[in-house]
Amino acid sequence: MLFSSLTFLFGFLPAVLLINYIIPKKYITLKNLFLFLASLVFYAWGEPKFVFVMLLSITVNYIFGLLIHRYRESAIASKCILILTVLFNLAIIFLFKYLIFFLTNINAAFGTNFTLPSIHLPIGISFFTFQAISYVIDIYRKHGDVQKNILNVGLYIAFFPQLVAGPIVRYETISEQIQHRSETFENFSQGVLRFIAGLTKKVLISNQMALIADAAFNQLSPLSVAFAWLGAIAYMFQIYYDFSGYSDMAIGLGKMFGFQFDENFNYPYISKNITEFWRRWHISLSTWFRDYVYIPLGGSRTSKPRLVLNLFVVWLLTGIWHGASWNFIVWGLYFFLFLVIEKLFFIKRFKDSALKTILSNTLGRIYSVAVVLFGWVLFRAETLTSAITYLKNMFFAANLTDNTFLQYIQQKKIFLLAALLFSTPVCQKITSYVKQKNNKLLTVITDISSTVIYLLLFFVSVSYLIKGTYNPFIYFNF
Amino acid sequence: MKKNFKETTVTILFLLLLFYFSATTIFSNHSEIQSVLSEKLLTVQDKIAAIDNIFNTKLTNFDNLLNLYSLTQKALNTSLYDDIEYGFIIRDNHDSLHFPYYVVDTKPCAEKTIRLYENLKELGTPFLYIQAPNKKLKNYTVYPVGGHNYSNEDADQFLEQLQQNNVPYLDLRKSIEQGQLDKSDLFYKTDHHWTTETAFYGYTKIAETLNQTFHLPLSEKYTNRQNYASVTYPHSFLGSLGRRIGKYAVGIDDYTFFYPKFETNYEIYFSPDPTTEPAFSGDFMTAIAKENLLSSTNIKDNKYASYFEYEYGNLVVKNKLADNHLKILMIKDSFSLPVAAFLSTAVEELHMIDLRYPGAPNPYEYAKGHHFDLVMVLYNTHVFDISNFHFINE
Repeated sequence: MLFSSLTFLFGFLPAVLLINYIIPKKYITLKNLFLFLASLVFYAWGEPKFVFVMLLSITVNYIFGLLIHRYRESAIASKCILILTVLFNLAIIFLFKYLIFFLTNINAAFGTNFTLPSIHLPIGISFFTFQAISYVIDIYRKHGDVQKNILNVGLYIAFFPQLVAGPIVRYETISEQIQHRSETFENFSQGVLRFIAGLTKKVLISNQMALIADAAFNQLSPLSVAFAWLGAIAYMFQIYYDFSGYSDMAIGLGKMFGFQFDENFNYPYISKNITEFWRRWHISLSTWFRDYVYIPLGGSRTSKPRLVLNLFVVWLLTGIWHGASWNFIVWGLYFFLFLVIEKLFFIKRFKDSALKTILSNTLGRIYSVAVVLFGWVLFRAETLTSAITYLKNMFFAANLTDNTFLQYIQQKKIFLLAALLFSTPVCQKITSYVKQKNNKLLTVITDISSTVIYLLLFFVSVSYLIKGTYNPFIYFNF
Repeated sequence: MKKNFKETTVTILFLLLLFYFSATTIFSNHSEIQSVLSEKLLTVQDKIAAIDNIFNTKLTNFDNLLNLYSLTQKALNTSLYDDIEYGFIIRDNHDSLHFPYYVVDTKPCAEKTIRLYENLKELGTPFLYIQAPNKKLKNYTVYPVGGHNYSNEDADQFLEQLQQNNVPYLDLRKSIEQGQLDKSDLFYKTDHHWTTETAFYGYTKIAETLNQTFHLPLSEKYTNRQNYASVTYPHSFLGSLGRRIGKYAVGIDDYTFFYPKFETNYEIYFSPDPTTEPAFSGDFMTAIAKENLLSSTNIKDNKYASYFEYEYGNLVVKNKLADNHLKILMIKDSFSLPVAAFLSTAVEELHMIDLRYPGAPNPYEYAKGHHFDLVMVLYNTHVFDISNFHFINE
């Protein structure tokens, strides 16, 4: 089920909110049981049979969690169990997500003829598997209490707000909240605002950008230079507003039910370098890889060759995590390249120079956006060949511009401007300006106007959903 | 003002809206939801799809929310409205809505038409193809960049193929272009069909052709506009295009209904079988006009179908007061509804076949058995699909 669907908004969400708040706070186990069952319904709405994959993952990780806890005294035994658990989780994800890709490449490389199985990818498998791994590793590291009740493990792994599109919630972040969370009106209302903001991002900006991006990337006839650029820029905005919109909705929903999730995006397109971009983009994934892969491998406090190797491993895995295709692998390694260059050369070399100021501001931002933009072309194109063709079109297409470009500029200019404007912290700046001024009238005006804007945006978003406008789900590969 | 005024107000209103929409939607559709849930033959996925469909199409205040969408689009000055089914809906320079229309290969359709003509010729039955006009008018309609509609090009290509094979045709696009009608009133703004006035004009041009080319004179009594009364229902009709995007996009159309001032008496049948009872009978206003649609205050009701209301695979209209014995077969689409109503006043029998609907007999076999004075095809380019050209069993 999608958050941006009428069934979720006016069927699932009110029912789950109502029942959750009818259950008294003191019956936390009952609340957890209810939220777990509701999450299963939410997941089953898309593909009922895959609920069993998730239930298997929950059961096995619950048992392994208990075993790690039980054999904690024995370093070897607990480590073996941990390795087994990680292998089990990787096996699940490999089977459903990578087996076909793996066999296809084996057949291509060695001329073998392995039959490709017909396996569908369970939605959100990468998210819930990484959460499952986080559960056992955090128990192993004593970063959270082991759950004696399987329902609590189930709730952690399957909780519907973050189930299909993240953020990847670390067990240590949430372990306390499963048993003791604070359901306050203040939290709830912050959650509502956040949810509306996320819904707006998804429905009013991302979906509109998707129309342009899909027209460009699916275009059978030759692209013009201008439309190729517009398509790439539209996709850059689409993926940001879609992903951060989903994260906002997830964080907002979490708050409505008393949970506090960590932030997942922090205006990534204002970054001054790629290192900073990855500190602002999909933060939960970056920190997951940092804490569970990069640092255990030795992190950056190591020799240069080892640092490069560590980065390579992390970015290879990051690429693979996003999908079973060479595009994603190349995309991951593309960022590895820039991060290595930044880590080994740029950031140090310009540390004390005047150039640093320039590079870290205007030029830095242009550089970051350009690198990210070309990266998104690799990410979005169906194949590596089509990505290269697309990139060529951005510079060498026969026509500089065409009617399709003019059409989308004319029809979507407001959405493009909004996408550009709200990818910067303009709203935050206005809010802090008003606070700083401490002017009563100004505060009243901004309070009333922002109240009206929130409600209007909610209504307009629902009206777009009613119209049945383009509403793609871009996390099938994840 | 309280510190958390914004949060509190938005939250309370959000919850009220959420529960209001939820409760009223479930309450007003509870029997359907109940039957979906209790239906044993449906799979879980079918049930999920059915529930989704209820929320997507029957949400409380659906129309108001769609109108909000159209209001937003108006504010944004949109001229290409995104549409899942058609790609987009076009608003032209005169604030009139259009479906996009893509280039189609008309050759197979033309070949089928030529074949019908040749076979009918062997039977000694005259044939006329009538090209209904298209909303995209030459030298009048301008689309925004990206809007495309190749229906005129397709029609030109189709008619050229007929001409090369000497198939008689009447191009109503040209007749209307050369006529005196106000171009802004030729079509509904919110619908792809012609207005009643335009359809009547088309009917008179058809009557002229029957007289001049086929020597089938229709009495002037039935073709003279003065012999028809009209009633206009202002702001009463939101057509098929307007219904897709809401009423504020280009507004609501007026609907005008023409009916004969002279005496009429009909019997209408769903088949030519003489043993069947007539489905409708009486004068024009009883047998052909649909009072339920004319008097409806719901702008979403299809007033365009006020003639005959539904489209049937086969319909036989017998004019009991006809002053001739003309018997015509009309192979039709939706543009024919008002024309058929007017033509029925002037001939003794008007048989209609609509290949888009179930129960449509094979036109050639049908023509063989009925000895028609004329077989005509009246199509607009939206039906240029080979499935609508299976005129002969092959």
